[in-house]
Amino acid sequence: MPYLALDTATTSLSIAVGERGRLFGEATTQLSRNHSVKLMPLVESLLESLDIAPDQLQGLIVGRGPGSYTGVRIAVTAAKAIAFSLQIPLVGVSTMDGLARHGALSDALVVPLLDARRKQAYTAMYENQNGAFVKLQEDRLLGLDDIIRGIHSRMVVRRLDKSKPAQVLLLGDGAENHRAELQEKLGDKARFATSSSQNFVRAAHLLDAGIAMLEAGESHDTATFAPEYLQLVEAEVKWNAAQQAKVAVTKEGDAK
Amino acid sequence: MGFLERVRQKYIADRASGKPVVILGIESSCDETSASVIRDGHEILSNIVSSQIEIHKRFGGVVPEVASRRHVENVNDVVEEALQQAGVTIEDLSAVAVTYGPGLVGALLVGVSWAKGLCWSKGIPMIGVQHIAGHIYANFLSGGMEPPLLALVVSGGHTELVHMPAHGEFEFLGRTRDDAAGEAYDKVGRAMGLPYPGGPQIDRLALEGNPQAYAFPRAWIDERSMDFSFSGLKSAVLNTMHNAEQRGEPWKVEDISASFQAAVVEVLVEKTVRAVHHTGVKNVVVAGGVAANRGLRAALTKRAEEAGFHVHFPRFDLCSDNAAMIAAAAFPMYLQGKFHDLDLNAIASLSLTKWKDTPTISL
Ligand SMILES: [Zn+2]
Repeated sequence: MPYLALDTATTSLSIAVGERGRLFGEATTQLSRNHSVKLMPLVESLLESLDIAPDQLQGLIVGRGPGSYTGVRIAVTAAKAIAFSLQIPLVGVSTMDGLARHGALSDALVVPLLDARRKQAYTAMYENQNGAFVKLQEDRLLGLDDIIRGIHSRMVVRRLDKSKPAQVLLLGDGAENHRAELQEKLGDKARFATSSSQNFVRAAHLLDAGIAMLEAGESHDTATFAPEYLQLVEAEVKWNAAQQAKVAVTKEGDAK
Repeated sequence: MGFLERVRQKYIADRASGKPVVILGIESSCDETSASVIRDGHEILSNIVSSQIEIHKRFGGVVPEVASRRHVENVNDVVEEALQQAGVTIEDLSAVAVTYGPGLVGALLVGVSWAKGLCWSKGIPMIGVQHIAGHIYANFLSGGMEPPLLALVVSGGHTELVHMPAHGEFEFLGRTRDDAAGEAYDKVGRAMGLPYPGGPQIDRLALEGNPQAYAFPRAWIDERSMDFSFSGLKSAVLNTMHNAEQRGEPWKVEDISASFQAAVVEVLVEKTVRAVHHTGVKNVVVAGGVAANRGLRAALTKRAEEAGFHVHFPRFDLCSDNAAMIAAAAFPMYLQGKFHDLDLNAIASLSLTKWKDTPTISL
């Protein structure tokens, strides 16, 4: 009984179908400007070519971001509807996993970077530990300087562990867009994708991460499940700031 | 078997069985997440509306990104509640109707993506509905309504006179050249310091005020025009308040409300009468949030009696955004076997007259 994985959090639109340890099929496009239009027809055609009917699916895995606001909601919303309709479990997996797992076989520190504009990126840290691909740091939105600082301090840890080379594999559009600066500040520690095919999110990677969770009995509440935006809406930030300013004024007033 | 084939087989089997047509409607174009189950185009089995108005009040209006995020969190519960209250399961559904425009694109996409996920999973026919058509079809939920009709559409974003010769077909007779009527209500409400949204407050206060206290302008444009203009009226109201304050004179919120509302309503009513004379169509329906306005209801009902035409308003609770009206609008399309495919997109500026042009699959 197969699982279906979906991700639309970045410019890549990726879907995959498979079981534990066995990928049946995957479809990924890089040029889709409209995930909303393309997602379900792609799901339909992949399952059709695999001769799998929707009611044969036994679980759903969806990339929950971080990523562009509207984009990430397309797959998450479709996944919530499919899981609800077919009464099957749903698990959300970080979209970062879909990118970072290109480096699962590398002995370098793996740092996925999804460009978030204004010299910021969504990022996390992974490394291979005795054959297992381990997430060292949860998803965060950071400025480029902080990302470089974090990598440097992780390199200090790695230098103490003689088995791990002081190298970092930088993946994703954030790595490509800031390649010159990363190269300059990280020197020969920095490694980049050897093919453009390693710079985008693949649903097959989410399938690996998600099936392990689902088969361990972990799943999300389909009803309340939502993307991981990692950023408040600007209006909320302003409103929170205004509330805090009000509290500050009241406190000063009390003191007098 | 592909989606279209599964849909086709289900449609043929459902039509042959003679069982009632059960449509699930989904609406998420602005700040309300709604789901509803309708039987045979007019019988409301459930109509769940989860309003975000309390969340957006603090921002002084709807924040699109906040609205979209809330829709994602709400949609499953709202649909589940609608099915449960109607006493039906997904297996009982004949079709799913979903608003695909106009509206906030991020908000619309939640409903559209959800509907596609459901329809694909279960091989259910899907019908994308134009939101304003939904408001017009809110009148059909009372039953016994058939085109040709005239529709007066009045809301925060629309003020239009529409001729509807047949199901799903619309032509504009007149529309606003600047502000929508509901928008003028909200702006005047804000200027008077009323809580958002201002429309219902003004309607309530107008009952206690003198509609002749201020002579606010009525924009007729020209003798035959069925277009509207409310920006001059809005400015006149704001100037009146401003000038009174400059002179240190008090103004009564009830009198401003009553005089402003009298000006809006008179123009809406008389232009509707023009449209009746122009087309000869004697059945008028009113649609949109302002259709709940008591002043408009009373004045138009009285004038219809004098001028010899029939006017119909939706039930009060069906004037604001809800999914029952979306399901009702989909019913004639269901009977015609016209459905949308999985590439249906949300269209922020989808026009009423363009609804019938969106490619459909005919079974
Ligand atoms: Zn509306």
